[in-house]
Parts: sequence; C-alpha cells; structure tokens
Amino acid sequence: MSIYTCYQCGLCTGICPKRLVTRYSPRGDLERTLLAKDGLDLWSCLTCGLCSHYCPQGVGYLDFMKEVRNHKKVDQDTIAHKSVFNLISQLMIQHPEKSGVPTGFVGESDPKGLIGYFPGCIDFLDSFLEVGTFFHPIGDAALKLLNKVGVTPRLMGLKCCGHDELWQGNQDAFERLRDLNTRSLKESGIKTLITTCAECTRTFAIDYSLDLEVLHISQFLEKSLGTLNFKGEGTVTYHDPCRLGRHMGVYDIPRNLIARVKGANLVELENTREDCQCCGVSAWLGCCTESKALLVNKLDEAESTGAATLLTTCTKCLAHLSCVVHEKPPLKEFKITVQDLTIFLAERLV
Amino acid sequence: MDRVLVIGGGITGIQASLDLSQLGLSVTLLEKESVLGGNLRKLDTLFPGEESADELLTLKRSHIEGSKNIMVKTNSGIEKVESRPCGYKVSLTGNGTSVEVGAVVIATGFDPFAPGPIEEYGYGRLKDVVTALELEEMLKGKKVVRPSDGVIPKKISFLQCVGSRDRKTNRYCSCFCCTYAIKEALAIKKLTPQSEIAIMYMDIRTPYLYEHLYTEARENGITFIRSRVSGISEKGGLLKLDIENTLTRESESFPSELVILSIGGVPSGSTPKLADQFGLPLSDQGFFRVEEAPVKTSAEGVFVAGAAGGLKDIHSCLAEASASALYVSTFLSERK
Repeated sequence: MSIYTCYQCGLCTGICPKRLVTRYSPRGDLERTLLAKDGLDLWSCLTCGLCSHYCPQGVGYLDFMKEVRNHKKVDQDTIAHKSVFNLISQLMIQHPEKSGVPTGFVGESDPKGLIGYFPGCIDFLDSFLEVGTFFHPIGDAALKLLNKVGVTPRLMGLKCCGHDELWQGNQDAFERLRDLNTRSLKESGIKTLITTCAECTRTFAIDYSLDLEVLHISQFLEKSLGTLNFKGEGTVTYHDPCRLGRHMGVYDIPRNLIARVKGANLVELENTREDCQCCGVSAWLGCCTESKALLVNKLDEAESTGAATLLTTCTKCLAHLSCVVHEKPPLKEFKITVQDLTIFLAERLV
Repeated sequence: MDRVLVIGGGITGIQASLDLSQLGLSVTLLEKESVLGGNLRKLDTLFPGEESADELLTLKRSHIEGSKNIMVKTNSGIEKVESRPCGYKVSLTGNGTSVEVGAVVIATGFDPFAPGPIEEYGYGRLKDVVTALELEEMLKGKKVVRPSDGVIPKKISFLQCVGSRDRKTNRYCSCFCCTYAIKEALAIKKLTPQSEIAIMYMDIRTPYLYEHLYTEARENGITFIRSRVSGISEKGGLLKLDIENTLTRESESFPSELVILSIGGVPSGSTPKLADQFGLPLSDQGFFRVEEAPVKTSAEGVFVAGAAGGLKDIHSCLAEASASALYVSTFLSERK
C-alpha cells in the first residue's frame, strides 16, 4: 500500500530490529520521502517486514524500500564477501545460454519431469563461504524427501533467482535474471517449481510473474504429510525466515513437518511466527558489527529455549547464523547447532 | 400553551426550533442579524465535504417558514429578563415588545477567532494571509485566488491551531479546524489538481467519523508538516513561513503563495450579558456552563445547545439542538 497514508506515529521505528543497534528510523525516511527531501538511509533496512506487519496505516515498507533502492548504487565495500555473488550474477547474465544444470546430487531425478527442483546458490555458497556448514547436502536431502513421496524432480538449471540484486537496487541485473529464468521455466514446461530456500520462494512467487506453482519444499512435502514418517530424539526450535514467514505467510507448514518427527520436541522462540526477529543480514548488505549483534541476539534467544538445534528454511539465514556460531575467534560460545529443515527431516526419514 | 424562546438563529437555533415545533410547542426564535443562518452562512460545505451549506440552510429555512408554531424575530436582541413563577418575561430590543416564555434554549453559537492580534502571522498586513472563512467564501465561488493579484496560487499552506491550544489566546481545541482544513485542502485540490498544499499542524484531530478524510488527504498528496509557524514574511510577492519540522528537526523557510489561517472560535459577543441576564455561570473558557450534560444549565428551564456551550462541529450542534428540544418538552410537561 501507498506510503502516503503514513501518520508518522513511529511504531515502525519502535519495532525495527535495526533500530536496536543503529539510529536507523523507518519513520524518518518515510517523512523525508513524503517531503521530497534527500538524505535517506537506503541500506540499513533488513527488509524483514516486521514494521509493515504492525503498521496501523498499512504502509508497505518493503515495496517502498524496493522502489527507493531501485537504480541506487550501494557502496561496494558494504557488500559482504567482496561482492562475489554479484559477480556470479553478472557472469550468468553475460552467458545466457549456459544452462548449468546442477549435478552431483544423490537421488533420482528426471530431466523431463513436470515438477522442477531448483537448489539455488547452495553450491556457490560452498565454494565461497567458510561458515562451518555445507550447503550441497540440502540438495541431497531435497531429492531424498521428494523421492520418498514418489517424485523424481527435474533438476532446474536456472540462473540465480536475483533476490540479492533486487534488494540491492540493481534492478537491471534483477530483470535480466528474471527474464532469462522466466524463459527457461517456460521452455521446460514444468508445472511446479520447488525450492529449498525462502529467498528463492519469495522471489519466484512474488517478484516474477510465472505461470506455474512455486513452493518451498516444506509446502510441497506437507501435501503428502501422511506418507512421511520421521524419527529422532531431541529438542529443536524454529526460526521463521522473513521471506517465508512475513513475506509469504507460511508459518504452520514447517511446524507441521517438525511435529511429524517421532521423539522430537519443538519449542518456540520467544519472538516467533509473525514476530520472529530477522537473523540480522539481508542481501549481503552490511555484514558488520551491528548485524553480528543481531545474529548473537538471535542465537541467545534460541539457546534460551533449551533447544539443541535451531532449524530454519532459508539458506541465507542458515549461512549467517552458522557463520556466527563458528566465527573465529568466537564472538561467544554457542552450544546450539543451526540446521536446515530439509536436512533435518531427511536425516530422520524412516 | 407554553411558549419557548430560542436565542440565536444559527443552525443550532433553527434545529431546536423545528424540533420544539414538532413536539407541539410554540417557539419565538430570536436572531440578531437580519437573516437566519449564523456562521453556517459563511461556509461552502459541511465536512466531510459533500453537503452544501447553502442548500442545508435553504431547506431548514423553508421548514421554519412552513411551521405555524415558530415566530421568527430577526434584528432582535434581549433588553431585559424578568423571572416569573412559570418561566421568564423577556423584553426585546428595539420596539419594546416582550414575550412570556416557559423555557429558554440558548443557541448563540460562537464568533470566529480574529487573528489580527497574532502579529507573527501578519493577518491584515500581508494580503495573501487569509482566514479559513475567507477561503470558504472563495470556495463558494469555485475560484481560489491570491487576494494581492488575483492569480491562482500553486503553493498553499494551512496554519492549524490559530487562536486555539494557545495560552496567549484560547487554551482549548476548536474540535473542528483540522477537519475543515483537510476538507478545504481536498476541495482546492479538486478545483486545481496541480496545487501543492501543506498543512502545518501540531497534532491532527479529526474526531468522530472523519478519520478517513485525513487518510484521504494524505493519499491525495497533501503534505502534513508537524510544526507551528513562528513567523511569516513577504518578499517579491512570495510568503515565507519560518518553521521547524519537528519530525525531521530541520528549520526552514517554507515558501507559500497563499496562507490560510485555520481559525478557531470564541464565545459569542453576547455571552457575558446574556449570562448576566439569566444569572448563568460561564465555563473557564467563557462559554455557557453546562451543569448536566448535554444541555442543562443551573437556571431552571434554561438550556444551552451547540457552540454556545463550547466549540463543536455542526453535527454535534444538531444533536444538541434536538436534545434541548426534548429536555424543554420534558421540563414543561413535568411542571404541569
């Protein structure tokens, strides 16, 4: 919804996770925009959507952020990992015909299948990140689970979904990736696209206009819940990624899957579901002291539940949280482990 | 049959008279001016903005004319009030006539605040600083122009709380300035869509059913700047408003081609004398004191309705007018 309805009540700033660690004011930036003043802080927002969820006037801060960032240049120094992922996107755009069908996954797939699975950037994360976890097994786990419910998915050789380019204001790059992927998806003829990352899910579902069903793997598996049986002891907690939670409204489904694990006990975070706090980083913008403070807060909150494992459904949340758990020298000693829900389920499949 | 005196021929007095007449009572309606209508005559529309003030008045006047029970006395005031065992004997100004009445409704309304004494706004000195009532007059003619040169202004600013919420003038809130300013801003925007309108406010108060107007105004691109103007100067035909936007904490000199003062109101000039004549106490704000809500005063058989008891919007005035008629009717029947 339009920002013009903003009453300047300041609830957004009051609830903003970034405000806990910086002077960032969503209200202030809305006021400056309404008065056509410059000096906006374009890059602090985590685009977590907590403010919009609570805004009494229905201001769509996420769409506002997308619009004001559009074609603005972010300082490259503030992008983590030396902008390597932007570079990868650029190379993907420069070589549009390279299909890059993902390989090396354990499990059955079908190059002509009507249900597609896109593993996203997991192999690139393994190549460039050292965060104490491996991402490739997410793909293996996805195939194992999909095979179990009788699906041999088509492995999709897509470009990057463009999530980070979009939220970094690189509209041109995003649109190129979107158009290339849209063409590939159309040519493939698949009817359903499954992803294992909340960012991919949101981007394909909301920021593309595709003529097919886009589902996070948890959404897909939930349809066959009765045929899935899991077993494994332990107490776990679940972090709702912004993209799957507030952006897509998916809260119950991952919990229903966890509840299916015999012997496992799900305990909720203090701030959960619609109130879930952002992990602390988005679109590689600012891996800095402030974002680490938020990540530490998140892990503290998870540990205080008594859970041994913090589960999530977003590859990026997993990367950022694992990074802080394994940071050297340690920022803090954490006993909790962070795990992707897909892997957690595949390991417990009976 | 008992006769009832209604003092004041504005919208409240008119409505009270009509309702009293409907209840079978005879009414003498006093109006100091030569025509009925009071402040409503100066308005273009009633908020939220759809209802024409002139049409409403024409309709109500025709009802008054069609009622055998109502005797209208224009150009009339009160000379003397004497208590009688069953009511009051009221001598009218002018020709020396008097009426004996069983009950009285005071509906003397309010006078618009005259902004001259607030020197920093330059009203009277700066031609393009006008009051909201002067704007209403222009809106009636469907043409809003700068008084100084007759040109249609592009940049227009409204100043809220003029003569309201100010210890130097009146401490109270008018309860209607925000809503009418927004109504007027939307009306200007409709006449001249390219106008850039800013409303300088402390808080926006659009009570009862009018919150949607505030949202509508924002959606229509009307700018709201939280500030209280500290001075207005003129250079080369352009007005500059000294403000601090208290939300961005920036001070600036805000350019405007036309400035509208959203004036509140003060008790009607006749209030102290009338209060004395009926032995009625006044409120801290100088209006007639309502002893028991909504319309009872401390004097037996004397009721107060509408803005005479404190500023309020027209719809509330109408409600109090009807309430006063019922109170009078009950009072008179219980006394028998």
